[in-house]
Amino acid sequence: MTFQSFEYAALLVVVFAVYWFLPRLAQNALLLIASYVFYAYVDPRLALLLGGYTIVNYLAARAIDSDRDHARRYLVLAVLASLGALGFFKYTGFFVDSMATALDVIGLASFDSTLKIILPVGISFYTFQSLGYVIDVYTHRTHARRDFVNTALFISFFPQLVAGPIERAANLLPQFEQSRKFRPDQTASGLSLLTWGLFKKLVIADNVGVIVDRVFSTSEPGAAMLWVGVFAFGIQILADFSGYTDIARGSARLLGIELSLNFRHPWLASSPTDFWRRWHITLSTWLRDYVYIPLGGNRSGRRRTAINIVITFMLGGLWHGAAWNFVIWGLFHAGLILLWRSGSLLGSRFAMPVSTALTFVLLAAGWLLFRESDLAFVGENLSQIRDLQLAVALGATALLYSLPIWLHAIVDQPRFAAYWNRTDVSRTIGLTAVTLTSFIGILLLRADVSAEFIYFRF
Amino acid sequence: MMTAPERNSGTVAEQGTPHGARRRATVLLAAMLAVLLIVPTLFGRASAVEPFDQSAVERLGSAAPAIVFLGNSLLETRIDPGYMNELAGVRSASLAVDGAGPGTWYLQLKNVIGGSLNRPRTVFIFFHDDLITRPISFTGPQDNALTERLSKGTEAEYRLVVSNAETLGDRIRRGFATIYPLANAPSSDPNSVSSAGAFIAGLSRDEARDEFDRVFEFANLRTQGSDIQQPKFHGTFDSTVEKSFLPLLVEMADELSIELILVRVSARPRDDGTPNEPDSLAEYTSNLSGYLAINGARYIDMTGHPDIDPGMYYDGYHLINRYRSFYTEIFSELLFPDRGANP
Repeated sequence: MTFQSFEYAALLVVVFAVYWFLPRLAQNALLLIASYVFYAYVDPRLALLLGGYTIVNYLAARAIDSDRDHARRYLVLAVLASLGALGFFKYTGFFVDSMATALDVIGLASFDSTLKIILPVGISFYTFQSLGYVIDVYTHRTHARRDFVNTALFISFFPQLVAGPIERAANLLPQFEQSRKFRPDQTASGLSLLTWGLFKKLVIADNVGVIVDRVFSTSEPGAAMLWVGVFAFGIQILADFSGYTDIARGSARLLGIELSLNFRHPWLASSPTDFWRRWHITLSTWLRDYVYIPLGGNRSGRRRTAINIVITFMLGGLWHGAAWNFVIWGLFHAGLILLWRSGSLLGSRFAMPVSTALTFVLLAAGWLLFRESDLAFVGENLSQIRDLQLAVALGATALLYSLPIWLHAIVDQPRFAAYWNRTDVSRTIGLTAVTLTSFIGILLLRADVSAEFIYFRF
Repeated sequence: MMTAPERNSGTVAEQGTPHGARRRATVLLAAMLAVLLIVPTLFGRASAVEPFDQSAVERLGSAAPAIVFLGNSLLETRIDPGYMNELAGVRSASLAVDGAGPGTWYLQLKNVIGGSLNRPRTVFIFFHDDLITRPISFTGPQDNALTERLSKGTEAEYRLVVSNAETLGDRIRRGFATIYPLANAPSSDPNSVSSAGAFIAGLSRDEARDEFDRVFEFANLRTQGSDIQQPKFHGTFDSTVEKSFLPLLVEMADELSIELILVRVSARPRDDGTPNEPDSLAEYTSNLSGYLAINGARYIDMTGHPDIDPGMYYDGYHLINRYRSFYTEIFSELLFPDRGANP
């Protein structure tokens, strides 16, 4: 079930209508049932996998908490089980293909790899979320829950199940454990966020996606068109992923649950490091807390810090997909961060607007690696200029579609937000205006066909 | 825009507002919902259901074609009725509608062709894959205004097929579209954004579209057709036919004493020229052919035609515009071997 479907709207309306009349325990049971309906809607077998993750991590967390002498053993088992499942479904084909290619290149052996394994939607997200819980129990950041329903709900909560935000136990579990009362202001805010997210997906991402798909499916787009495609993809992926997150957070807020912020106007990033504080925040903080810091972070000298950054971003790239272009994309970001950290070549010597513009351009180049797996194709096309006028037309079209996001980035600054938030009436007027505009915008400007969310494939 | 008011979004810890403030917040929420739910209903609402378009019947009557073609954009990219007249010396007309499906063709056959004083001798329906047994009126967005213009009265038989095939999502979508008529409008307005983009580049809308079609035509695509648009198959013939418009189409043609010929256009062949279709679709085709033979209709399958080349395709199904005349010649030769492309 996808967020832009009428089936999801029906599910949310029914859950919302029943939910606020129930006591807390029944509310959680209802959310758990709705989450499994949501996930199993397309393929019921997926519910078994999700259930398996839940049982393994629930038992592991309980065992770690109750038997501290052998806690490390239980942690290793849980990590192996979760990463093993993720590795099987997501990376088996990649490693087998890579091995076949490598053996072929060195002339040792050659075999035809035709392994096809389905990728359960959202597996990367709920693997990291459930792993985070077990690691947090191990490191005493949180305690193992006895209540199976709450733990199961933490791993499967439907608004954030398939594409995040990747939640921490310390943020989400206490919310399931406390009673929730219906709050009109929270409902108004949730509805507004949800509608704005739908607008970003159905109007901006889906329309700009048509341009992106055309450019990247053409054999010789030429340099101008390729850059327009990259620029448009930057718009598409932000609108698509942040749109998903807004729908997730808006849906959860309607149910009295606050999910973590995942995007903070990443186009305004003044450096690559700043970008990762604004883009997919819950993944970058997860990697920081569970990979970068355990590796030693920046406490063991410059060389070791650089290695830690490279390892963290390489894993971050690989998390996105089982393909070398994602690994290279991760390494590209690591390189940018190291370059900025050196301070001598870039970054601190520039004024903020210049640094922001430079960051934007370099990140756009990064999106090329993210979108295109055939790097030879990129090289061949960067040397050719053709169809300039059409490229300008398509670039301008993409830019026009992105204007609401730029506008949002401006008026969401504290001084404007304070103006709207000064009284509850002004706040309601602002929320109504945004929601109404988004709603009518969806009805008028939606694309003919809505594509799957990009991050579903991760 | 304050879509994500993080500072005021409220957390669990903030619960427990005073009673007066809560009541005020409830009133504000109710006001917000009222505005959101009511205001969009005011846009795009037609004053009444569109009446049946009698002018379409009259146009067809005055043209008095011996042959009428029904179909969608696949027909438009294949058959030039004017050129067909020249080639075969038989007056023909096309009632192609972009994105049309069997429900629309049924209404056209029943009310436009059936209502004409000069009924054609033969009606061809061009379709792809298993579209002819899918219980839909449009392959893309629903154009309710067109359906209304093609309908006379309640169209009970048409409605029965539509309602029998509705999923939960379809029902919700229909209810939503009834309340918010803007949702029914074909999403043509994104074109206004594209036009603005073209204007910035110094192109007119038509110039931009021509450039777009030229640069992104199928011949320029990296991935070949078989990967881009795979033939679609939605169930066996026996399991779908009775819930579809096909029996109504066959009955209506019989009632009107019109020869009905269904033409299945081929998906883009593989690069080696062999047909690109799964075995299940081949079996479906065989069953369809048998069904039509029993019920007095004819069937032409263009799949595997030796003159149809993968290079003629714009995408998985549509032909590049310059091959329209050539396809018309092929089809004319097929229908009238004695006249064919040399009238």
